[in-house]
Amino acid sequence: MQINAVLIDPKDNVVVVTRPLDAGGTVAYFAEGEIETFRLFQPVPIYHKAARREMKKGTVIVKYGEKIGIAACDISQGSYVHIHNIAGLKPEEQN
Amino acid sequence: MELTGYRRPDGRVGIRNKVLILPTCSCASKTCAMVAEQVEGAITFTNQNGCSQTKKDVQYTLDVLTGFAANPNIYGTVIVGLGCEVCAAERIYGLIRTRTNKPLEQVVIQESGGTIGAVAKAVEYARRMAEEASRVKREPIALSEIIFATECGGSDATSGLSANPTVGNVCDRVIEAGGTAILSETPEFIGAEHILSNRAATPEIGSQILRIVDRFENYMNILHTNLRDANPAPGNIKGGISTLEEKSLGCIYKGGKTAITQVVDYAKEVTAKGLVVMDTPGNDTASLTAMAAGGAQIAAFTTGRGTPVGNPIMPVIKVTGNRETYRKMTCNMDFCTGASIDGDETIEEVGVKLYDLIMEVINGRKTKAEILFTDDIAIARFCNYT
Repeated sequence: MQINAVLIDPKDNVVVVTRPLDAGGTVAYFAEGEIETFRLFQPVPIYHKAARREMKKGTVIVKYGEKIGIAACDISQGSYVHIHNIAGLKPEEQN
Repeated sequence: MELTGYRRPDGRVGIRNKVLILPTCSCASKTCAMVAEQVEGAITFTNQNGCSQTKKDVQYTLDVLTGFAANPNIYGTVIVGLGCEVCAAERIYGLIRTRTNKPLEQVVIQESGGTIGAVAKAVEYARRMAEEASRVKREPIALSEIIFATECGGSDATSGLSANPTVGNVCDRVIEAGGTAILSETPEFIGAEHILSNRAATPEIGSQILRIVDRFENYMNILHTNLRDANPAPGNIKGGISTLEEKSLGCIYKGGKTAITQVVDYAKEVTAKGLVVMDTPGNDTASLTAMAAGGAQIAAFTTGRGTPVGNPIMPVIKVTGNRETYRKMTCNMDFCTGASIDGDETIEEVGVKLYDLIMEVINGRKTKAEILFTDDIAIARFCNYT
């Protein structure tokens, strides 16, 4: 299995792809020492994020084990995650 | 791996054993260079400051100069002053003595027959110290006696993805062993200050983190500069960064995941164990300078695009997340974390290798910056010279 993404913290619900990936491809990365995979259904540019989990609108998006934003709409596993579907945190959501 | 270092009379341990020729001000810097050239094991640096400064900037300068002399990598210090400067030799002598009982001498150019007399006197002091220093033997030390500084600069996408998480992993290990790590560069906390604040060991420390960010932004406001609104920049978004939190987390992740146990001002002495935040500017050289003054014996510096910057007081290990940069700047880069990007190894596995390299450098292995004498310093300033 070709590793092509990085899961920075085990709590993260997004991974960062380390090469440009096409729709239909398989994302593969290490999760606590084990290889984990999911199918991508949108293209993702190099060093951009893909959804590791299904996230309902309003779900906190976690990278580095910390909150980086919230899902602005429902995001299914294998989606491209970026400014089009992430909303910034409101001050009361930062804690 | 057994660690060894030089035990100082003040109880601290150094991992290098240098004699410091300390210029009190810009006017004494060239004289210090003449002294250091003549004594093996002596180091010096160009001090641009030390006079014609506002009170706040004088404090920065005094803290850096006394902190350098107190740093345990230094066996002893020969202060060289001009004689009429604000940061006078006698004043610095007194301040250093409040911090350490290590060997200390002072020479004043105006009272020693000018350059030639001052050089002769300072070389004699330095020669004696170098001889004594050479008789100090390395002894077993504990990792809990080490203060590990972290820095990042010349960043690219691989910094936040690979190099910083790897250094963060090393910080966690150092802290687990009872040691100290320093996270610096206040402007890079912006947008993630609430995350750092929530990770503080006490509510007071949390408030201090918010306060240093607020203070930094207020300085910038005086000059009508706003660091928050323009972030993440269009280039960041193109590189895959979606929010300000995400951008700042990529920087602060190099400090690891443990609780923050202390917040110190620029170049002030670090006294706590665990993860310590130091209030420094984003300028890499000025930030490394402050951490060396705070007592750090060693630093790891992550860089995506590559930089030669080192420090005269402590070894600086250059870590790139980018294999291309490692290939292009092999003479400056000590370590590459690219294997975690290519999936050959996990961040933890690469972290173990970087940790091992850091232990070797503690024991005397030289960094690329040490070998090439890239011993830069810069002292932060708030105001123009008066």
